[in-house]
Amino acid sequence: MTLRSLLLIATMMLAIAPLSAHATGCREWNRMSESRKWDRIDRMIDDAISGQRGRSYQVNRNAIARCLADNSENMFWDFEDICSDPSTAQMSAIRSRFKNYIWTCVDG
Amino acid sequence: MNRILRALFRFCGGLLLALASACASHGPEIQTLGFLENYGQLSPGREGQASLIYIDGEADFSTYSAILIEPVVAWPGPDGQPAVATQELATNLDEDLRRELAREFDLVDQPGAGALQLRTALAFEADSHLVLEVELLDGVSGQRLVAAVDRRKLESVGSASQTDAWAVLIRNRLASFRQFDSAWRAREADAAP
Repeated sequence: MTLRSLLLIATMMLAIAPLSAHATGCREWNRMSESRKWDRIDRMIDDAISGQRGRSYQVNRNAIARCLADNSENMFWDFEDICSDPSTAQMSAIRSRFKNYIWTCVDG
Repeated sequence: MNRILRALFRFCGGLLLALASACASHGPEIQTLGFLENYGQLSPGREGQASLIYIDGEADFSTYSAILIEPVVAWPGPDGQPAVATQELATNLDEDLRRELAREFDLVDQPGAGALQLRTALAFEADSHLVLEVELLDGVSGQRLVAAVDRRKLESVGSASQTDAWAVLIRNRLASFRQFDSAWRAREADAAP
């Protein structure tokens, strides 16, 4: 195996590793394909409405899910914008912005 | 084709955003009470949101199981005293918050690990608007996790419905944050090498 082959494999592994991670920061977001970005938004919406973490959690999940899904196009471009600007592309930017959507949708 | 449409959509979105920003810079400033520190950290909410909002993206709400609710502050008017209506509404909000948040958290009377600290102030303005300023802090470090300023028209003075609605909203939002952060943390754990 040549040095060039080893370097190629190492580069591929570095490129693939972040994509396999579930948590999403801007670094991962910017490396994703468009379809993976949409999948990630869908998964974040699932995370927000599935399960039963709290004691009561009597939030109207259907309404929140509908509201978040209605906003998915906005989220996509929102995440694109914050992650393309070095001044806003912190690790927590997507998580923070998504919580803004949750905050809004719970109000609805 | 799809990419071209998206690029066009994005361009138009950016244009609208720029126009909206230009308009916003000439719009009325959002009035605040002065109860919170560092309003510069807050940014205008979208339609339907609080007037100003800050959410710490690093905060993991799934790690909090208790909450210390500080007594709701009835914000004084120009004469330096809170109006009777403000005092009544603050008392209502205090009761509503304790009732609603007890359904999600253990109520504690001392800050500590795993506890949130809730600070709230309420003002009643002459034009029948209620202003709510709310801040959630980490119970140990005092670090700000959420801050919001909300201003809503009160349908009838003394009505408890607005304070009840705010208390339910705060509880539901925190419950949703806990749910989301719990799932996020589980995914991070799965993704760890």
